[in-house]
Amino acid sequence: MNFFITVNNREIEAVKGETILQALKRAGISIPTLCNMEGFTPTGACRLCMVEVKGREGLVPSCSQPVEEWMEVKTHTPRVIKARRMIVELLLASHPDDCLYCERNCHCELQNLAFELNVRERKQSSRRPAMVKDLSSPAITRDPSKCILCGRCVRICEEVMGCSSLEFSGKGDASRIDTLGGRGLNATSCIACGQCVMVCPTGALYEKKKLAELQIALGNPGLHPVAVVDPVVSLSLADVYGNRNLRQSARQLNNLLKRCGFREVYDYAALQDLYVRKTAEELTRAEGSTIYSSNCPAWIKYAEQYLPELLPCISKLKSPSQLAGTLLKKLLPEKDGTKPFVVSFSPCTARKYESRRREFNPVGEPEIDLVITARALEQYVVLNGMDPATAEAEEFNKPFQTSSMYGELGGVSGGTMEAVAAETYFRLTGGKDLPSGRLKKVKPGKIRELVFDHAGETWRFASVSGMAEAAGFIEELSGKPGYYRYIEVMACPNGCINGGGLPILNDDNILKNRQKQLTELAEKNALACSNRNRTIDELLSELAKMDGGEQLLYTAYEPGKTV
Amino acid sequence: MSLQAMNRETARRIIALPPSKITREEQDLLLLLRRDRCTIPVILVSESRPARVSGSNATYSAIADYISENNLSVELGRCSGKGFQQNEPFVDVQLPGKSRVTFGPVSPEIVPLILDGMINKAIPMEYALWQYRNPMHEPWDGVPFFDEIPYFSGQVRKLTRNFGLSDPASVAEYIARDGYKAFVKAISNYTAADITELVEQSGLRGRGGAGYPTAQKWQVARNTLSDQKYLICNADESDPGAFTDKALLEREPHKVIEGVAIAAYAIGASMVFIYVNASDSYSTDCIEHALSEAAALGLTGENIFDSGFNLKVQLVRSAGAYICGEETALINNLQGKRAIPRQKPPYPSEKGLFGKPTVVNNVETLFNLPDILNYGPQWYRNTGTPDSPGTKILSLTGKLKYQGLVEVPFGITLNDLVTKIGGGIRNGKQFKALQIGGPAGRCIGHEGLQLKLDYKTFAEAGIFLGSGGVVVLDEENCMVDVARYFLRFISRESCGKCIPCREGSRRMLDILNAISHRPEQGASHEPLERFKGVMTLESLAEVIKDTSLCGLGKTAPDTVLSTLRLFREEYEEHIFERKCRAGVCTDLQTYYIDMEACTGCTACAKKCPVNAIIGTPRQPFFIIEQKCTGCGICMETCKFSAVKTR
Repeated sequence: MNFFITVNNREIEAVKGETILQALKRAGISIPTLCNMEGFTPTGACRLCMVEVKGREGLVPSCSQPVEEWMEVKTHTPRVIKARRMIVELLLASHPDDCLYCERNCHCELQNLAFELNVRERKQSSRRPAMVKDLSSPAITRDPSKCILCGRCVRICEEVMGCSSLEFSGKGDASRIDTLGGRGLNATSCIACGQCVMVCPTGALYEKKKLAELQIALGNPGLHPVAVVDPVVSLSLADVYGNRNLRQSARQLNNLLKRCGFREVYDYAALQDLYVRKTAEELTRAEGSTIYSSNCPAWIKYAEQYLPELLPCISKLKSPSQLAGTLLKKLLPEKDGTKPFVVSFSPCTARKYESRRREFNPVGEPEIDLVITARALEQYVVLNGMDPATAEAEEFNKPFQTSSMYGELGGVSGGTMEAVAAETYFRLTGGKDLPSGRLKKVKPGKIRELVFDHAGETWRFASVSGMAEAAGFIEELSGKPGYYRYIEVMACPNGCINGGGLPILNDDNILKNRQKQLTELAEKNALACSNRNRTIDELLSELAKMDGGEQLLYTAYEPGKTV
Repeated sequence: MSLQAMNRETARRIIALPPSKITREEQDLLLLLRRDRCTIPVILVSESRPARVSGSNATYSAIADYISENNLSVELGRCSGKGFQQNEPFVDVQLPGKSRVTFGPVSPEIVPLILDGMINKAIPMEYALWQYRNPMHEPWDGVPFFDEIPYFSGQVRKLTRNFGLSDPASVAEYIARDGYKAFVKAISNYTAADITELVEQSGLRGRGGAGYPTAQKWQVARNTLSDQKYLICNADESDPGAFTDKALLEREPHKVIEGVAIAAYAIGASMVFIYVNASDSYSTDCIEHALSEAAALGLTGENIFDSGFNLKVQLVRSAGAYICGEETALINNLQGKRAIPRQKPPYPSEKGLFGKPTVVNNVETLFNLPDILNYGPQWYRNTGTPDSPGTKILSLTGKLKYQGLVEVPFGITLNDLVTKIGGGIRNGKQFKALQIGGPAGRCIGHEGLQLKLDYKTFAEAGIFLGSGGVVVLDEENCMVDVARYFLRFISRESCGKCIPCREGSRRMLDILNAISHRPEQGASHEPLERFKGVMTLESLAEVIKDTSLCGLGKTAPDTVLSTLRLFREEYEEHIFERKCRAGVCTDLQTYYIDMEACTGCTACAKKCPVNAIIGTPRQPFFIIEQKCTGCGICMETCKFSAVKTR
């Protein structure tokens, strides 16, 4: 039901059941917010979105107040502006004054608010007890002194990721956001997905960028630096640089990386092809039981912590990123006494954690030497004074040069599942392609399903993303083992295109666009199916010749302690 | 006297039947339980928190020893607190046929004195406080009656009429005083709508603070369709200076349960949570014991008194923070979450505990219900004002001559409360202000004393009655310090969710700390800076009130604002003259040694904890101002009054 409400003496349309804020947004009236998150129940904690409603004594929070027909709203009166400015001043009163040195300088929502509300003087100054940075996690740094307690990280960690690693603690002026039990982040249930970093408005949560290490490695003549680049990385940088030609953009990134000092640049999508082929092989061999995907490191940590009984069902295959590390370290010959140094460029912060797992770090020889996120890469390009616009297109290097459509789709939720299904169909039918028009949404959420029949047997594949949703889905399935043959789980909602290591752009449509872009890009690929990727055939035959070559592709899991 | 005197069946008969249908033996039993009749002397020692603090347990054992030593035939028992904090612990003595006399304070040493006298039927007059009026008893000569004591004569004791008389741990004594009759009458003879209608007619308003009409709140929950509805009895009182809710729980817990049961029936809730303050174990123990007694009599549980009404009552101990008393925070806490308030609407009466319609009523509100049902709404409206009928129980504390739990009719002036009931300021000091409503309340000065206690009048004057804590301040209180005390409470007890309350109260506290402390380094523009702070204080307070999420934040700056308005000159003295006229803010004082008076005895220099006093023996000493922390030890030490302040 639609009706009109008066806002600033103007009539705007409102829909019954929505909040004042939603109606205002549609009408193009911008209201500052801090704690508000699209798609979450409003908490009304920050009090920045306060508006005047005629007949109400105090100001009303527009984020949580439903619109009603009688309402007369004023959004920018002196009283409202004064309140908003005072709130920002209060936040700044106890906020450290080190914007210049802050990780989020120029990308900080608090900074923007102070600018928008014209805060030009430190009217208040208050002291908070000194707080120590939590550097324990291999992926994420927590700086509580920068925290303004908006609670966005707490909500995403609990409601979307189902981890509850971050929690409010204390009360009154001693309230803070802390890890569970006040331990270091690495000792908690944190799965390093980085979603908290994505929602943090300030520099209270940020990833460990490792740019200095990258710089040193690239300048070391004893090393042979090579890069593996996820298609989502080039896609997100294309967003940043405003580049419309995505294929071109990916090739230009290769050039940029070479200019930075990488000797070779490889395509992550080619490794995804390898991953898909080996998974399908495993699947056709397995007798009727469900196999879960293993390419998302955050999901693996979650399963080790919360679902240890599920571990035997999870594919033992290494993730494409680690496959790249293993294979490159084996295949790259030592040239002039230089050691290969493998850097993985990823949209993911959990890869940083994954690369530090014990099994991927045989003594002195890590498989992946460094993981750099898209966000850090963006900064590295600037740091090295390179102009992306002048980069020439350059192909990936062999052996991971070409990839298939399905390989490229690995970054979007459902992509791996679809690829594995197509590959399985190919294997079962002895070389037939899966008929197109295949994906089916099972539920309104982020669960998708693909079904085909073969030889009187129904093969069901499912994909789910968002850890909390996935956990619910898995619990529902506990009653019917083997119903699905393959389940792809991705920790971040919508998959790697929403990864925790992507540039923070504050654009509501970014996710939809990225999904569309990646699908369009992949569908233009000449190679439809992973099976058609010949380079993988060559690689596999080479591996077969090697002693214990197959073994290189597999890993093991151990039940972890749940904190 | 305990339930052994009355078996389960008798108790149930007495509750369910009108007095005319009760047998002769049962009526005799009731007379005994009400202490209208006694066959052997009865000695009752008061049992309440103030009594315990004053040593009532020692008195009790002293009396027990006396009785066994002298081999007396005496009934020794307990009675609830009398709501009069002076002269605790009280001992009530009742001889057969004579009226009941209260003695106090009775320390173990004077127990023999009193009891010797009583055995000889002679009252030791110096310890006797008052006697209770009872037409069946012969009064003592020379002992004033209870209602002649000024502290009690100013009150209207309706709800609290049994306080100090019966044993809170005995359901039998409660039943003897018409207990549970209203509830059983309600579930057997009335529909839920009837009860709501009666409460509507009585004009009962919620005693939690805002004074929202109780029947209206119920009506919303009644009209919301749901398979399950909940009632929460909010007894999580944790304001500094308030003890009414705890007192109700510990003095007549059965009346609380009866009120709870009636309200549950009226709104159609089969599940009730009594949410108590976990930090007060005594009142919690009392209500817990009472709940088990009520359950044993079948007053809770399935199919109560064959009416078909089921009721489950669960006692929940709060998480212990002040904010737990806010209804949405309370609901969050009951659901096992962190106790933080949430934005309303939706209101709990529509969507509360586990998303179901939930009525949250204050314990005092529910305490009114049995009387309304027993005596009718018109009787209830006879007391109080048309807008706020009935009586209000207040915690009267501070610099008064008499303090304690008082019950006053709405419409009484604050002046009467202070001078008549409280007996005025003690030690002949001057009245300065009255702080009402706990940390969320405000200060009222001389001119406000004419105000009548009434929800409407108070709302018009912008005062929040809150939990009913009244703290009276005299000239020895510094108003800046009072404001600072309450603000510190708020800034510690704020839940920390919304920015204006969390950061704003911390900031306001910073400003008050700055003006009541000595500056670190006195720059010339420093007083100006502090004055600027006070200007900020006002605009800060305005924004905090305008934008905070819950009632705590919305009223947090009230104490500061009201003191700032009423006692602005005190603030200015603190800022410009660095002077605290009450001498409370010791940090503002500068200590110095009078050269004339100092003999150079070195005593002060030896005691100074920070070595701020230097000098040569037998020469005048000197205090280094920068080092001095203003502790005042030197002043206490000096035998020649040479240490002075300015």
